Amino acid sequence: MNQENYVIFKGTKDGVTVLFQPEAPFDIICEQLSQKVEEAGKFFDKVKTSLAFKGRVFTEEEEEQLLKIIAEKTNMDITFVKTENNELKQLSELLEKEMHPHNLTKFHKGSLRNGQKIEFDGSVVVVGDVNPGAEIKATGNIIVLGQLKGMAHAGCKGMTDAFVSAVYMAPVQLRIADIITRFPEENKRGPKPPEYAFVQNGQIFVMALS
Amino acid sequence: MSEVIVITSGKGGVGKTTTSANLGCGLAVLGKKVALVDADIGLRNLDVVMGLENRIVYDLVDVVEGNCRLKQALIKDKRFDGLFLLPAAQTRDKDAVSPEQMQKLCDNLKEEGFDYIIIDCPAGIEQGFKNAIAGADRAIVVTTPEVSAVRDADRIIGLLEANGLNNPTLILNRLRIDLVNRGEMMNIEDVTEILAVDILGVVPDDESIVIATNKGEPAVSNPESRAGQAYRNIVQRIMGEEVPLMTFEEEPETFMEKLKKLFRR
Repeated sequence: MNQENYVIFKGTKDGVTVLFQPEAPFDIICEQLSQKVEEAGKFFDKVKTSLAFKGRVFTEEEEEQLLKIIAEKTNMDITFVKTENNELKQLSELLEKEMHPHNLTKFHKGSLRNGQKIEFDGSVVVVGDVNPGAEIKATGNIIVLGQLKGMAHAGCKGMTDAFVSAVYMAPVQLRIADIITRFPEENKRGPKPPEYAFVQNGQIFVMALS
Repeated sequence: MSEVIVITSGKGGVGKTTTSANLGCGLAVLGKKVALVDADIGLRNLDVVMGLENRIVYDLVDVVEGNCRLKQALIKDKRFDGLFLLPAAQTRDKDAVSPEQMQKLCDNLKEEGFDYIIIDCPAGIEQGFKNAIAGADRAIVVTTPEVSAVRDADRIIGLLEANGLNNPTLILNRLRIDLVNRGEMMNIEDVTEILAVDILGVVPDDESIVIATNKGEPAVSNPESRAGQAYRNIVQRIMGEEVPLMTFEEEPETFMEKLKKLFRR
């Protein structure tokens, strides 16, 4: 059998690299891989290593298939798979997992004036006032270190456990997820402590923070 | 050193044109060379307030389009030396001029040796506003102590800052001290708390303004007018002098007035 070498195993200091011939058909690659792994047999037994696929880009299904072959034939303990296409993707997925929308926060220094708007996928902190006519829309929480007199919409993609908090809460309107309230007029006057608005039983409640 | 000041407000009818006219006259009285530019194309009235309507030959659009030289369009004021008006076109609209053209116009006016160039901005936030602020070095926002005017002023300050005109100053116009004392009108603190800008002056509501405006004689030249006094103070502040804000206590009755009242009963 005079077959070209479509699959080459290489040991590097970072782990094992598998070089694939870019043009070879996928089923032949699978065949060769399975053959090579079998030949190597005990060599990979109980080796703890990371695996790097190089030379060509695989789809997720193909990748899974290749890994399955390796898992079937050896006792290799693969700690991490690095491939041409998913190196970045994996990183960003990892980041994304860490940075769930409400874990990302936008800080705005200065006041928001009438007609100005902040829209953010995450939480928003405003260090300043939010004047009437200004809007904040966040998928996470909203904190205003100043007077909130405009419109605030926390959890705007449906996160009902989002909250809105302000040093002086007197918004024109308050929204959390899909619940909209008018802020009572009698609560917009005089000195009062910082407050905190949240959803309970489908209603927005406002509580003093003290 | 010349300075381009835009007088703006967002809301209409709060006194931009009156303020422009009074500040222009006030600065001219103190010996400054001043150009008043009416940027309210299509709805001009700075010329009427100044009493110069019948002298208009060329206007701002003529200058921008090159139909005349800048000097030909500038109308010399009938009362004060050193005060000139560049009127707006009445038969055109705001789109007749672009912000770049306004910027160039302001530069040309600076080259003419004016100390102050005051631009009367139209109401609104559209093309006319963008034109008016294009060449400005600093902005003065006029508002009245009404919720709607203050809201619009807030919006305007935001837009000014977005266009690089930071730290505009505020003129609070038409304050009625009797209403403020009764708690039925916003006071100075209420307004500055929302707008968070430095206050340049407070002008009391004064019927002499209406009379002066209708006559085409700015109130700043009337020594008896309270509003005129307020404008004179503002002029001094523009020139960098520190003048305390006017006190707005209602004038205490003199002994004779009290006596007269007593007898009338």
